[in-house]
Amino acid sequence: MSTTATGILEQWFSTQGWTPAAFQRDAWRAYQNAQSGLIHSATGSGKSLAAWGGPLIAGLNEKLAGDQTTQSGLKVVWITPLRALAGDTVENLSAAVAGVGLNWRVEKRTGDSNASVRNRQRRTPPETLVTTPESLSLLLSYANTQTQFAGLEAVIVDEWHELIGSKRGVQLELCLARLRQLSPGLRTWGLSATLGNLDEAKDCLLGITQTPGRLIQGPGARALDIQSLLPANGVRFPWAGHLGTDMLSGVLKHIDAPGSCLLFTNTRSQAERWFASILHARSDWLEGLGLHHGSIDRALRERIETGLAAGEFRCVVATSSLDLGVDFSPVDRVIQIGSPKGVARLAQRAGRSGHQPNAKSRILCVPTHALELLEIAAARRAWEHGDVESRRPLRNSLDVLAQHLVTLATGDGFSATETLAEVRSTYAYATLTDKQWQWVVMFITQGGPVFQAYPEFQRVVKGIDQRYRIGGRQLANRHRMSIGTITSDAAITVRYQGGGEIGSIEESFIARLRPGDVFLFAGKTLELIRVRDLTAYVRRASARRSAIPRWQGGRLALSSELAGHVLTLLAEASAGRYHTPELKALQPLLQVQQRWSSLPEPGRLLIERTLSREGEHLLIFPFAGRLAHEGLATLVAWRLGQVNPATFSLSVNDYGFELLTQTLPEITEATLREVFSPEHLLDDLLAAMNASELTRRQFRDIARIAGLIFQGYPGQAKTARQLQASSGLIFDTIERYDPDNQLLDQARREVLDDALEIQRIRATLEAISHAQIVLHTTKRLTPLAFPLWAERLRNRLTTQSWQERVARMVDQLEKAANQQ
Amino acid sequence: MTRLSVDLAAITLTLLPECAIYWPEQNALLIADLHLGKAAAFRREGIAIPEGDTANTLTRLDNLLAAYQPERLILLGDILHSRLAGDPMLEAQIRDWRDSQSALSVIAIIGNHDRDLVSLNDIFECYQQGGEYAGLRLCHHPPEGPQTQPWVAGHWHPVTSLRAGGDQLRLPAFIQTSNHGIVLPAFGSLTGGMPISRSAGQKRYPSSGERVFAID
Repeated sequence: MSTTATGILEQWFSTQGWTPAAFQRDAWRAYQNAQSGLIHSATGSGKSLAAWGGPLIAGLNEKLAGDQTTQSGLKVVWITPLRALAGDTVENLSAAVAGVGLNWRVEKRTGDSNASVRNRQRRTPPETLVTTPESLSLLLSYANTQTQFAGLEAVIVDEWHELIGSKRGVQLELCLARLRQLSPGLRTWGLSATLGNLDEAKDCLLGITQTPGRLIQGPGARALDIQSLLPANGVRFPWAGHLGTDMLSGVLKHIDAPGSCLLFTNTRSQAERWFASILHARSDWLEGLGLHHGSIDRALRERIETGLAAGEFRCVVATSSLDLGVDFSPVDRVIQIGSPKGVARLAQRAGRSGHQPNAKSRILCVPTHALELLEIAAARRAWEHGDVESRRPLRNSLDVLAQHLVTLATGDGFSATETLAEVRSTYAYATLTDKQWQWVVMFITQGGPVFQAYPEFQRVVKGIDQRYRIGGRQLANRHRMSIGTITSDAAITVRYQGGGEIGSIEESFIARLRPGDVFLFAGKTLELIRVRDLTAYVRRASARRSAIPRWQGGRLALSSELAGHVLTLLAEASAGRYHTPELKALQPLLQVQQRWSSLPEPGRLLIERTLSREGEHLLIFPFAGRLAHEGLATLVAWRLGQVNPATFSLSVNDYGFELLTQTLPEITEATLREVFSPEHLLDDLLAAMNASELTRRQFRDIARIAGLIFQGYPGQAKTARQLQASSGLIFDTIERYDPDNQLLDQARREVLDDALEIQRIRATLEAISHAQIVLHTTKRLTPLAFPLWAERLRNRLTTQSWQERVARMVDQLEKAANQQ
Repeated sequence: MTRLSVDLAAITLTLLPECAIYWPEQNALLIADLHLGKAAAFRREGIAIPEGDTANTLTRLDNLLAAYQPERLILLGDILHSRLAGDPMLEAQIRDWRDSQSALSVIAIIGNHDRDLVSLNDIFECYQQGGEYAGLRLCHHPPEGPQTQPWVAGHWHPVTSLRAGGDQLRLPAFIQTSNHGIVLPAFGSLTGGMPISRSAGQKRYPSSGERVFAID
């Protein structure tokens, strides 16, 4: 028997048939030296144990020293981004605890934990708590955090790459800053998959500290084998986002092989569609086929996760809801439907296959339209070059700060000076100005513009001791219900008339259906009976034709890393070099594009102009990704509209954008140079956006997080209705009566930074100013133009007055009616 | 043409772009769903919505009254958003407004939000279950089933979406559900909308704020 703590841990490793890897030992040592840091390692390489070993060794050392003075109590908080993972994590951590003979309790606390468990955990806290950022924040909203967290030694954040760059990440940064104050000397460790900005990810996790912390690199990225399912007949398959039956038979062949298979899609709608199609083709598989996405009832999802771990499933169709998940056993094959849009995501999904060390991860990519073949080839090239995406951390999100301050006020209360310093110790708020801070405090205490006093507003109140506290029990309860930063369209529960719950679906989808309509959800064909009190009652239907819900947020933008390689591949094609199987399959299509117009390439901007019954189309291909194109399209439409007032319909995809209008003015190179000028970008874009709905839309999330929208208590939908107003209405009211409200400003900033990617727009315009512009007038839509036309994710921008628009629309409607 | 006339049986009503109805024969103005005091009700619950809606709603009403000079104003329910008890400012605001319009006679139908309206019955002529005036039934909730008597109502906050040529607009709308009845759009500044789509036997009249359109 070994007598050192590390020896005991190594012994347990060897009983499992493992040897500690160098990076694991490195991480354990760093932990013993009271350091913090980030561990970067491939999926399945043992990074959980790299992080978990440190606390175990510390615990064993205390035990070996026979130290009776150390209190029991909470020692480690383990953060997981998905509550579905909490159960697995508890099991894995507990196995190691038992293996080294420690008497620690490892428990989870998530939104699912019931009241008695939560109360017990508060009275006698376990040594280790596995929780989510939201539940951690919730813990801070109860009194006595000082005694709860004083003995805390470490926080370990699993899958940090999933949290960084989101408001959940910001919320966690704030909570970590609080914990560091409650427990000086707290170590922070993070686990991350491959990111382009690992150093920044580490700084962001550790906050602004004196010591830089460690970045520990695990075994390098494993070899990745990316293959495409090539269409049987060249490129004769649908152009835009539909499931081709050609592709289905190829996929079925792949799934038919023995072993288990994970089929990833990018959107929940796609998952529904593929699940239905596979089931239709292989109805005898019913038991072996699973569907897993974020809207499906949690119990059902958990059944699928355990089934997958137990090898009961032949194939599980999943969205990013299964991207994460530390240790469910590897599957034999991974299939990706559609372009992964990013290299990091593809690598992570591929990592679900073949977990044996040194084994290659394999992934089969199935294009949903021809041009996605390009993106698959580009992903392979980007991975070979090590071009992996970064996740940019968010800065100064005032909505999250407002929520956090109310959380602190609900818990032990807070004092302004200390808390400002604490908030500024985070990476997210290091540059928070005094003015911003004062505004947020004003917002939660006064509720409105500085010059107005609202005596009835009592959300947070300053006491005689100068501490800020919540204004009452009811407000405290309501705030606890609203903690979190994940927002979605109001969720409607879908249940059978008999009572069984199926999952939840976005209100905007249900609102479009009438009783009797049939839709596909959770792999079932359902008929809507009625909607009442945020519940949609349904029955099974037999109709073949059915609507498929379109969930929001399913649209990923092509990363600039991938886009760059797509352009390079096109340049090679333009020079007649078709090297990869994907490019060879695309050759006929690309040659048509070249014949009718030309191929874009780095340093050359392709523009096409064409006429159809709908009007005149202007198609522009900067290859900057869908988000940047949304902004570019708005900007270009607005600038064109300054010359001749017009209403444009905008349509964007990852390659370019389309402006559709009744008549286009004459367009010369000089006009184009002007509309693509990087000068006055911000002013013009803001002016253009005032006319659009983008900011108003962006405000929805902000309003929810900052507590301007109350979504109601579960099961109390009716009584809460008096407090419900749409975010659009609130936005209009604030814009009118409190135009200096900083949340409006934040909505504009977020639209610029996140929704439109202003940095990418600026870079694109700079590049265009040096690029050659090629303008083709084409007789019909070219292969590059067609998907834009077909996709029609429409946005409108108008420089015409409201009256003109209504009159024109009514005109058209009347004309249409006269023709009938 | 900025206004539009509709006939409910023998009664001719003018739909105004300001989301109100003028009844020439009786020199009366009809509006629905003011939801006065809504922002303050939100603030009492800790939801930080700035003030302005109540004053704005009353100012728009004053402008309408000045333009049409009616003898009578008919409010079709949901005049208040919540209890008056917690909001002494609101009651004062409403009483001040009533003083400034003392020549006007006001009929108020009590809506589902108007639990405290009775305490204003010295300044408004209140009716609990809807009322009737010169052959026109005045309701808050649109009556269900076939009706034989002409009626007007509120409660729905109807809006409708127009789509054409890739353009789309969401506008408040009057909804004529049958030959006998019409539902008014909400008049209050801080009121949401319930989308009403095309449906057989029903006519929608959206308002752009300057003009009322017939689209069905």
